Amino acid sequence: MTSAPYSQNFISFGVPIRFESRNARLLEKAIKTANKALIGNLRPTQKRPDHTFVFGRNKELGAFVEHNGAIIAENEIERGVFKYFDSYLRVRIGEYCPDRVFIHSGAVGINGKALLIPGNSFSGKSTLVLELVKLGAEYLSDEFAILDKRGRVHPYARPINMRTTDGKYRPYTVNVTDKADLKKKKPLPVGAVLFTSYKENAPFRPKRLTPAEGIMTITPYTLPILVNPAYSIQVLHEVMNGALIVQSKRTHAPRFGEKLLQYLAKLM
Amino acid sequence: MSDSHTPKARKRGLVVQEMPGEMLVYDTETNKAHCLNDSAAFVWASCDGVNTVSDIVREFEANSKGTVTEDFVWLAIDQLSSKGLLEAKLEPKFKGKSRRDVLKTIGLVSVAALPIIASLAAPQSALAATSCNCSKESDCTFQAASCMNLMCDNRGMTPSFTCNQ
Repeated sequence: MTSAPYSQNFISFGVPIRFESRNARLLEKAIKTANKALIGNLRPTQKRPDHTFVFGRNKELGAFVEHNGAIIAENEIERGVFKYFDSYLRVRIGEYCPDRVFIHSGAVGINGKALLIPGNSFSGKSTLVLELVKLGAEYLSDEFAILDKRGRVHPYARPINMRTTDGKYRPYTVNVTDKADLKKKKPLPVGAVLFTSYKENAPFRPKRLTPAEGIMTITPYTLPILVNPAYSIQVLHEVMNGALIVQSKRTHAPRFGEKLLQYLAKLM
Repeated sequence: MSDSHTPKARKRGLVVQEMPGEMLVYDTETNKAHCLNDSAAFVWASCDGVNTVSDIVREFEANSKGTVTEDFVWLAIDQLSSKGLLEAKLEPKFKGKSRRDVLKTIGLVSVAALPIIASLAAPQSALAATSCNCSKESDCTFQAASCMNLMCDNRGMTPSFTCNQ
């Protein structure tokens, strides 16, 4: 590897990382992207990095990013490369975070307890989270539920990422919180976990799952499950042991959101 | 190595979480989570490489879990074997019979919940849950192809992207 004159070491959620580049502008852009991706959880450190990211541009690849010596993204369009890096970094931090378990999930607070809505991108969880917030729920995240060892949820409150529903999927963001709010937010115990997928005009028919079924169903959304399965299962057990776990198809978010909140009000 | 009469539960590469009335087993080699109901969990715990199927029937009944037949235990063992939860894979006992027929026959003579194991695979990469997207109209066609070929589908993930058209 060629020597990089510009570099900086950081720590994010307990994961030491290093950014390197021969180009000061690219390094600056990487730091800015990382800060946004990790909602400011990026502090300089002297710790030896576990993950080194190199940012560059050359005639052969265009703009590129390497992770521990392997190219992870390359394209003429620099913006696209950084967009991918933004997603990639969040996922890698979530996978390797030593003491928190990142779940790909929407999360809102209801009466001092968290509702988790696990789901992948394009599963409609942002739409549902936004609808629940409009109905009075407290916004925690539309992307990750970050769980501590006691199974409590810490906020990961980026602006909600929405896409238009006209078939063209234009991304836009909705600000539902401010930084002052975030600092006040305490971790919440999980009151309920909802596994749901969209089906037009589907009635709300919640099926209760057992804790073991809940853990099994949430594993595909659990980022560190491959890296740290024992700790992940231990934390998921904490979550599912005390939570209401339900599965249901859902119709349009406004109608479903109201019914869901009425249902949870009785049981949570 | 267990033979077909004294099956042995696999321990290596598994994360086991016991819960009242059920058990969660995560297989770190296949990245699959298995949910065992009480009956399946009991049979699995009894597969010590020494117990025969009839021993397991006796243990099951001695633990007040209900009256069962050897076929009941075999139903659990067949599932445990096919899901890789035994040290050695066994020839299925009910090969060629429909699951429905097997459950019907066993259910009629057993006074216990039938052994059930549900399973779900985790994705090979945590990146599978993410997506690419382009945010500039002129980039779209090019970006879509690049995203699929170069930026997403290089870690075993399902490529997806969003486009401004």
